[in-house]
Amino acid sequence: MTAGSRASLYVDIGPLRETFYTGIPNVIAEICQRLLQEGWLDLYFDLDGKWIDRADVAACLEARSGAGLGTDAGRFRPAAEIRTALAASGALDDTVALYTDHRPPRKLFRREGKLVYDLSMILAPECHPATSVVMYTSDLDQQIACSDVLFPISQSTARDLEWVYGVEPGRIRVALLGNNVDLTLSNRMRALIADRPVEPFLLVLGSIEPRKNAALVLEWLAQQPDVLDSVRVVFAGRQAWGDTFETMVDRFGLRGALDAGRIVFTGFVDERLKAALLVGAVAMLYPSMFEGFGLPLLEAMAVGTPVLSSVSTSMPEVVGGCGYYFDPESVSSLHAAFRRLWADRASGALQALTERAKQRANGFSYDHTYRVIIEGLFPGTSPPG
Amino acid sequence: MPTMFASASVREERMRGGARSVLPGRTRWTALFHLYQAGFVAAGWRIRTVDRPEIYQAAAARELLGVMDGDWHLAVKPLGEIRPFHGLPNLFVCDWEYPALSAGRAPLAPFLDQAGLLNRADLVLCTNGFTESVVRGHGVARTIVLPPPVPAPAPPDLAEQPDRPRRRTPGLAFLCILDADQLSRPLRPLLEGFAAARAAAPVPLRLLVRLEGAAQHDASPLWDAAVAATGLDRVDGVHLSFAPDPIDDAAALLLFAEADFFLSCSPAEGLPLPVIRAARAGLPVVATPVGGTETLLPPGCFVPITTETVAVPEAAEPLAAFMPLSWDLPRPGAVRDALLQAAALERPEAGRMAAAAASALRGAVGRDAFAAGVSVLRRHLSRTGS
Repeated sequence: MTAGSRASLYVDIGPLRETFYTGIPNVIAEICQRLLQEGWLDLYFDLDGKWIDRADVAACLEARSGAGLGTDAGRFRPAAEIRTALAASGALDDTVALYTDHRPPRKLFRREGKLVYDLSMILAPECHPATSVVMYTSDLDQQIACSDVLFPISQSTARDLEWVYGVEPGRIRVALLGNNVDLTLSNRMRALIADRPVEPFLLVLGSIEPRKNAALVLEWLAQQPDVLDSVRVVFAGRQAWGDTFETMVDRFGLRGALDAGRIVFTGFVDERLKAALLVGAVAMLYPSMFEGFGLPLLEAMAVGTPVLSSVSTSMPEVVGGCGYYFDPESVSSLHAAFRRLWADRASGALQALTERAKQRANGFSYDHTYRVIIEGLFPGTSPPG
Repeated sequence: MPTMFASASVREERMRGGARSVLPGRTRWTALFHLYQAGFVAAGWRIRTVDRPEIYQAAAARELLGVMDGDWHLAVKPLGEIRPFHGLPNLFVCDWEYPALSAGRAPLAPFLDQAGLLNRADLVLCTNGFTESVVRGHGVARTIVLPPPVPAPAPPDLAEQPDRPRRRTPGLAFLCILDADQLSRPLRPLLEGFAAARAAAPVPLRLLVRLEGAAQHDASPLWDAAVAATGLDRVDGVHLSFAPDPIDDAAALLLFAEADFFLSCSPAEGLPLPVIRAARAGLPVVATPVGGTETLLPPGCFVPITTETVAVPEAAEPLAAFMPLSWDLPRPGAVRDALLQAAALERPEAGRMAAAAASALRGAVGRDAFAAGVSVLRRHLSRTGS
C-alpha cells in the first residue's frame, strides 16, 4: 500500500457472534469500531462463514450484541464469495487479513495477522475441558506458523509464544488491551448506593472454573474464618465447568458461611450488576491461575476499587505497582496480601493507591491497541488519516 | 543459601487438591525427583517446589517468591510436561531411554518436539551417558551427565550387618522389580525365558516379581492381562507382590534378602533405578545391556542378556506413532541362557561380580559423584552466564 491509496482488509469477527459483548467480544468490538471509521479501508467481515456487511457489523457494535446476526441468517452471503469479489476487483493479491479467533491453518492472503489471547490451553491444559483443548490446539502450531504477524495481548503471552512455538520476536507485536469502562454506569451505581449502608465485601469476579481458581479463596476462608467477620465474600460469575461452587463450598466446610450469607454466590451478573458490585466492593479479589491480560483487574482499577491480584502471567502488566499481589498457589500468600490491604485501609494509604491505579488504568487505550494492529498489518506505511 | 525452584508435578496434580496423575512413568519420575531433591539439599541448596513455574513471569512474581540471583529452576518430569521458569536458569532433567528423540514441528504438538524443547533449556541434566549421547546426537549441546545420588539401601537400624540376611527357601531366586506402567512392554521373554531356565536348571528356580506403582486391586488384572497376552498357559515358580509406590529401604532390603540375583529384562532404560538399588545393596545383577544400564555397569559386573534391535510398538510408547523408535528386546532363549549362566556361578564369583557393580555404581551415583557433578554444573552455568 502506498500513502493515500486504498487497501482491502479481510476481518474474521467470530467473537462478535456472542449475545453479550464482554471480554474478548468487547475487545473485537472496539477494534471493529475503529476499523469502520477508516475511509481508506475496504472491509470484508467474515463471521462463521458468513459475509457480514458493514451496516450489520455497525448495528452489532451499537447494540453490543451479536444477537441480530442470528436472526434471518439466510440474508448473508457465504464468506467464500469474499475472495471471489476481491479477485473480480483485482484486489485479492493485495488483501490483508486479520484473524481474531481460530483461523485456517494455511495462508490465504498477502499478509495475515492473528490475535493471540493466551496459551493456557497449551501450557495448562488441565485447566480446560479436554474437548476444548483438542479443538483449540490441534492445528494451533500451523495457525501460528502461517501468520505473518501475531498480536499477543500481553508481554506474557508474547513470551509464551516465543518459548512454546519459537516465534521470532520480529513477528510479534504486543497489543495490550484498552480501558473502555463506562464510568457513567459505575458513577450511577455509586450514586445509587452512596447513602445506603453497605456491609464491606470482597468481590471475586470470574466464572467458576479451575483456571479462575475460586478454590483458593474458599480454602483461604476455611483456614481463616475470621476474615468473614470483617467482610462478606461475593463470588460473581457463571458456573462454567469443573467442580460446582456448591461442591467446593462443601469440600471446604463452608456450608454454614454460605447459608448465613457471609459467602455469596451470585452466578452470572450482567454489566449493570457487575458495575454495582465493583464500585461497592472493598476490593476485588482476582485469584486467576492463568490470564492473557486480566480485563476485570483493569475494570476495577478504573473505577477506583482496590485489587488483590494473582501475580501470575500477565496480571502484573495490568496492575503494575497499584495492587496487592499474591501467589495463586498459596493460601498464606493470599492472606498476607489481604492483611496488607486491610492495614492500608485502616491507615488511609489505600486512597493514594487507588488514585494511582485509576491513573494507570487510564493509560490503557484501545486506540493504542488498534494502532499496534494496523501498523502490524500494514508495516512501513502511514495509513491516511 | 541459593534456592532451587523445583517443578515435578504434572497435569491434574497441578490442580488445587488434584489427584495423582496416571501419566505413564509417574512412579519412576516421582522417585527421581525425590532423589534429586535429596542430592541438591545435601549439596547446599534450599528446595522450593512450584507446580506452575511458567506463571511467574513478571518481576513482581519473582519478588513475591523471593527469587534471588543464583537461584535455578529444576524440572524433573517427562519431557512433554516440562514448563519453563522465565528469568531463571532452566535445568531440565532428561531420562529418555530410546535411541532417538522426536524433533521438528508439524505434525508434532509443541511439547512433543523433544529436541526443540531440550534446546530451550539452559542446561539438560542427563541421568546417564546413554541419554546424553542420544540428546547430543540430536543437536542439543548444553548437556551434562548428572544422575541423582542413589544411595545404597540402608538397614532401618544401624546394627552391624556384615552380610546380607539370607533367604531361607532352597534353590535360587531372581528378583524382578517392574513399574506397573511397564506391563505394556512384552512380558513373554521374561516369563518364557524363566520357564525354560527353570526346566533346565539343576536347582529349583523362583522368580519374584514386584510390581510397583499400583495398588494390588489395580495391578492384579493388569498383570493377568499382561500374562495372558504372552500366550503362555502357565508359568510355575513365579511369586508376585505389589507396592503402590517405590518401596522404602527397609522393605527393599527384605526383598533383596529373599533373592540371589536381580533380574532386568528391560528393552530400554534411562537411569535403571531398581538395578542400581539392588546392585548397591550387594545383589548380583542379570540384565539387558541397554541404555543407562550399559553405561553405568561395566562389562564383567553383571550377567548380560543378549538382545536384538526391534521396532517399539505404539502400545508401549505413543511417540512411536510419529517417529521410528527401536529398542533392544531379549529373546526368551537369551533370558534362559543368562539365568542358567547366573545359576552356574559359584557363590564367590557372584559375590565378586556384585562387589564390582556396587563399586562402579558408588563412583557413578554416590553422594560424592553427585557433589562433583554439581560443581561441574555450577561452572557450566557461570561460563554460559545463565
